[in-house]
Amino acid sequence: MARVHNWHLGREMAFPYEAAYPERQFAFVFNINRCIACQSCTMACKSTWTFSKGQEHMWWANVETKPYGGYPMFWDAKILQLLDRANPDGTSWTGPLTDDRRGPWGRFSGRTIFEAERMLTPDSARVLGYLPTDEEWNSPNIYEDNPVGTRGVPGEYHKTGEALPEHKTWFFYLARICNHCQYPACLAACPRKAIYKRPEDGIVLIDQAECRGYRKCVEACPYKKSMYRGNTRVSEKCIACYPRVEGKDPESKGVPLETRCMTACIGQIRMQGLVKLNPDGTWAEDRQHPLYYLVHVAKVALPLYPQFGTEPNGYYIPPRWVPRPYLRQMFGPGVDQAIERYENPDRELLAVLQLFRRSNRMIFGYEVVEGPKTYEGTLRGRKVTLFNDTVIAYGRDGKELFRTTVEEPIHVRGSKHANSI
Amino acid sequence: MPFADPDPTDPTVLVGVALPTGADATRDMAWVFAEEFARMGFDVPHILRLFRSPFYAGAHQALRRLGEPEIVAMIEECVQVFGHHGRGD
Repeated sequence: MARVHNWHLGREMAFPYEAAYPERQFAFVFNINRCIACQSCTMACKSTWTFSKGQEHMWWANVETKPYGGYPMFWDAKILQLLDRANPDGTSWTGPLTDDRRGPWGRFSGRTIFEAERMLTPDSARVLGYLPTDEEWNSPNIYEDNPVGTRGVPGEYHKTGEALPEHKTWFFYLARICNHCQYPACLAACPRKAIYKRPEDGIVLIDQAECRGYRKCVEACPYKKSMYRGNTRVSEKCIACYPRVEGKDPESKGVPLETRCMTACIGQIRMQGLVKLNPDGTWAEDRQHPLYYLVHVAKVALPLYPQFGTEPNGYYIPPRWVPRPYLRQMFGPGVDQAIERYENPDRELLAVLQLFRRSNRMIFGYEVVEGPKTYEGTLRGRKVTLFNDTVIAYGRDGKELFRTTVEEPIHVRGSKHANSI
Repeated sequence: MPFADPDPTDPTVLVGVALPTGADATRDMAWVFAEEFARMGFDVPHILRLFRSPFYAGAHQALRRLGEPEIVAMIEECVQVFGHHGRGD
């Protein structure tokens, strides 16, 4: 095993291959506070990439209801349980939150999925994981937001949503795609080296010609975003809509576009981009990049289950109403600071949040132009001061993509065409 | 979609498992929904419509538990702060 630096964990860790980092890295931020589980992202992906025979069970993009829902069922509870067994003495985060980009959330002490040697079977296994059953793949988010239909009447939902099974507790919607990890467990586990990470954008792909369907990647990916296709006998996964990212989509005219799931998001929870990396794999300083700002400056966006050790490139603004112990387990020790800052946003954060989903073009930089004060008062006892600042988004070539304001005027579509696109 | 209620004897289905929660989780959740949609420019009737819709499960659950007067008060406070978006149509 080689030693690599995992900046999410603030330490070196074991990984089967020497470190090699892309020039830029595909990354995204999802604001969970805004997700309403409309599943537009899910269907945008499904209708683009996984609509064929043999792909019926595949949802490269999905939205699940936490804490009970999941796709495949109980994926995170199961891998967390395995990690618990691999860490009989427990795990911990030590050290303060810092501005050090090599370890902003302190240091994680505990075994990652790459470091649980004694749990691995057979001896040739490289990553701690499990293979979900067919039943677990079958029904995404089963028993959560799926209304229960009338027995014996297929294809019909209840007429009213009150018939939904309802948990008497908090819940939130977790939107997920492949995290295109810096240290992909799927890649680490593949005995044929059929999985690779692209040097130009860090997108993780399965070479369909090399794959023989051993399903080691399915077993190893802790997020369960590598899936086996029975009729072709090879595995498939999210490809990050790479023709769009490359600017080769006919619509893009050479300009990088965000992925289908991002651009379909009506809740405006998603932003995706390509961040610059340092030679050591940490994010290079890029102060005016919105993703860099959200992760490293405002520090409101956090990785999903950093303790797995794969250094995922999906970051989440945590839901504000969920009990903190649950969130700390899911997003690490930065949760309290992230929520505090998101609840009390400064002028820049309010402006950057306006960049979400104003364009399907990928944003490479932004600028905020200060505007007039529009409100001063309180909200739930907190002091609030608002300014109608303008935020300008720039593309890869440095040219303006669009500009908008914090108090952007809203347009309401007439009822005649309310659902037309 | 499933055609039957969850079977509590099915060992793979987590039903009735209690999770720790603060007493105010529902109230906090309702505040967040009201604030987020107010920030996006929704007005009071629009946001209230979301809370009334049974298909928007989180918000609707909060409305049923807390009652419409409390929800309306939350929405009005949020719209008073963030509701300065003009109409562009």
